[in-house]
Amino acid sequence: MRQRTFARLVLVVTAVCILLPMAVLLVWSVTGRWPWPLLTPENYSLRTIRELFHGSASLPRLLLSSCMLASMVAVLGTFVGILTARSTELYNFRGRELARGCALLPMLIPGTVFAVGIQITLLRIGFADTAAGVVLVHLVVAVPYCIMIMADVTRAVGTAYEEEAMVLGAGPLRAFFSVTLPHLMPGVLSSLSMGFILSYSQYFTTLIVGGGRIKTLALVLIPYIQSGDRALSSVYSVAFVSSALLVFSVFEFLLRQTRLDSR
Amino acid sequence: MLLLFPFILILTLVAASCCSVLAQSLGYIPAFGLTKVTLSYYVDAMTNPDFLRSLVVSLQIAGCSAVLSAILGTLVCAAFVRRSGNAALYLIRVPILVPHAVAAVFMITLFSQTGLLARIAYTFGWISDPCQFPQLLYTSGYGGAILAYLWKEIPFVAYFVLALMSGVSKTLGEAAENLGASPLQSFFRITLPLSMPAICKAFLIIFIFAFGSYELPMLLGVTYPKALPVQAYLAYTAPDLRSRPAAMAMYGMILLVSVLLSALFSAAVQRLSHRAGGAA
Amino acid sequence: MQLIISGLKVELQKKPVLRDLNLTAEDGQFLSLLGPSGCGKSTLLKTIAGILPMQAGTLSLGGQDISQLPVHRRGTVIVFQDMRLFPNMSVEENVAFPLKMRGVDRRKRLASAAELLERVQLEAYGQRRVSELSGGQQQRVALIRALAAKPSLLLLDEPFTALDRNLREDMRAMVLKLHREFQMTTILVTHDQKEALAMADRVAVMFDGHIAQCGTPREVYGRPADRRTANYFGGCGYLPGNVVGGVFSSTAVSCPAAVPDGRYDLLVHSSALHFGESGLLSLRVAGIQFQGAETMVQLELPGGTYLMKPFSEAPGWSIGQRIFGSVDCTDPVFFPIGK
Repeated sequence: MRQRTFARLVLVVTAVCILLPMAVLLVWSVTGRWPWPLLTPENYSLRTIRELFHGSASLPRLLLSSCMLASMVAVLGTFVGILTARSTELYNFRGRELARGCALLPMLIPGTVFAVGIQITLLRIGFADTAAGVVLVHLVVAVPYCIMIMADVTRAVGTAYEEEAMVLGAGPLRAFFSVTLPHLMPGVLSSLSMGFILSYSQYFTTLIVGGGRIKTLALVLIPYIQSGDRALSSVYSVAFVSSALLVFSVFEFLLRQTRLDSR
Repeated sequence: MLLLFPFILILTLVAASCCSVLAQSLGYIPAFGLTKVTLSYYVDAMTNPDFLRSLVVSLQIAGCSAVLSAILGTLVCAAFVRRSGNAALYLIRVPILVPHAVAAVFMITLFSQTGLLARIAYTFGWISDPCQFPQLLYTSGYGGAILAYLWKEIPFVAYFVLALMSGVSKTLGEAAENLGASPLQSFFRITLPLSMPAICKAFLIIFIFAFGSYELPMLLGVTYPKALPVQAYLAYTAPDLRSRPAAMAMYGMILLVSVLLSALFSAAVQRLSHRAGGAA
Repeated sequence: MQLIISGLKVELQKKPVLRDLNLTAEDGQFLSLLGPSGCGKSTLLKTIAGILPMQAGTLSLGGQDISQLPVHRRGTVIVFQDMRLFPNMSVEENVAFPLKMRGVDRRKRLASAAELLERVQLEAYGQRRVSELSGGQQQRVALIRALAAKPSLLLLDEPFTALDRNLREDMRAMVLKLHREFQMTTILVTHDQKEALAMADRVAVMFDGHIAQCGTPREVYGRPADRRTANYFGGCGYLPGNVVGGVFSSTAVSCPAAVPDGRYDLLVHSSALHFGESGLLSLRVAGIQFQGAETMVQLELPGGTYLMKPFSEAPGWSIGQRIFGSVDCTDPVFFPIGK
């Protein structure tokens, strides 16, 4: 059927477009010399891997700080997402449509503008050049996505189970945690994953708000790219993508577990 | 509502940031001793040909990236819509994990004049020297940046639109085919029109992001014309603090264009979903 | 057109849903497909229409094998349970949609749509948005939209379930009227036994992806092929007894039986139970329910089964009372015990 071959063609082309650059990057990261016009490297070397682990920008430390920052953003973002989604989806109040519309607002202001604008406020509350400030700014970037994800799940789960629990004698908070939250889990995991990835990938906001004091993996990537050392920039890119992929896979695995349980 | 409290805090921050940008761009920076509110910085910007060039370039980058991503992303989504294996869904989400900077590295590795495609061309005998391979990356048309945005945003559109398009296709699209519409007709007359709200939302998000983003135009751009966010950052980090308002005027322009576009777009989408009877 | 299905096997997510299914619907016939939820009725309709693929079997319509035809060329139109009217089009555009797909020009197809709308008394609603119509009106639009496609086979997937009781009866009458006017082969899927019996020329009873019995309403109700079918229709109980030498005998009942010797249950329909002076069969009144136009009495038969019998007036019994009745044994149905 023509439709199926079209779909397969698109899938193949998409797969190649996505995976080919990553494969090439992998090769570049262990390359010694790969001059024009060779199609494969002339020789391979572990120089870049050594530099990765023992160089000036030490990978373990970068990973740690990036992951801690991103985790904080993920948790806080999901928290805000759960609360906001709950209020706009499950409760009826004046201005609800306005609230729903506003949820997307931070997405419509470019992160660069926001970072530059918030500096003075951050200075005043003493958060400038601190991890807390970076977390706050990343949070603003991540929150709209978290709200979007949680809104869909919250609407789907509804209040039915919670009301049933309360009718059976559980207090509202207890009902929420023991009955509603488990059903929200797929959304919560998606939101955590998204929040983490968004914060992990931030460059400009970290640069402006961190003032150079806060170092993340995404931040040191840019100077390496600008240096023109393709092997080195490749190996750092590979380090970044593999760590992100690892975190993502963990979340996907947990997600699949929750889906299996609920069946 | 108490539940909204954290979100309202966030909104306050956003509002504070916007006010700060606007205030500084109007010349009001008490910390530097500037207290006179004036439009002169904006006027200077609007009459500065370099600034205008940057503005146009950024609009072009954002426009091309958003339009092409929307079209191609919708196409990819359409291919996945009724027959998505799990593999396809995972694949689509991989580019979301990759930061824009790495996307830039991809473009350099593949499309530069000594990149993989050039080398393949050499192997086939089509070119004999790197200079013969077209300069795609570091051009004033910012082709490289656009390509990198496409790499990231086409999967984003596909992922963003998939839920809605799936729902429409599996019910209404199926009914249309059952009534005699070929799969193509069913897609263009039913599925696509009813998926438009999501596609338009994705378009807007990508446009605004590409318009205000710094990394890609910086890594894959040229000295002249600079994209607006790059130009603005240079002015922001200039050693002479008295030029800060001028820098803020540039950021202010980015902000105003983004807000204006969002407003226009929301109005257009409202009218679209009204006509579609609210299938979203 | 005549529909012939044979040996149909359909799997969904690797689980078999339809197993070796055989069904025939004659040209112009109205067939009810009856069965409990989950037995595969909707799956069967979707397979006939080509929406779901089949793993084995043949599907022929009007003598032609349609199993390789794509969905939009089969001429088998489904009226879905959720109606699926297009929200981005007006009512008349919805109805005219199949004609538009055939390339009929605008004026002609809108005229056809208007004519169809008139048949269901919706001629004033042509320009309205679908969302402005009530559930019953939407269902009517869905119906004539399907008819506009001039289907060789009309498939109705439980179209009345979402409607109120009174509306359902109006819609049933409308479907029958349209069937008489258009004379196309129709299959109505339902889990409502009364609906199936009342509307159809033939009834096919389906359990677990297999057709248990197919026949006229009287045949299927009066002579069910197995216990499951009998129980599905309800309103019947069983009298255990023995068949020896072609005669069935049980407590106070005996009749000729054209089955081999053995232990059997005699199927007792509520309509076969009579209460007069000459009754020898002892029954216990287990429950009495006033239902407005009739009173339902639950009776316990010897052997332990129950049946519900409707009375147009309350018979004046009390719960627990022992009464005597007789069983009308014309055309008896026997089910072997223990198999």
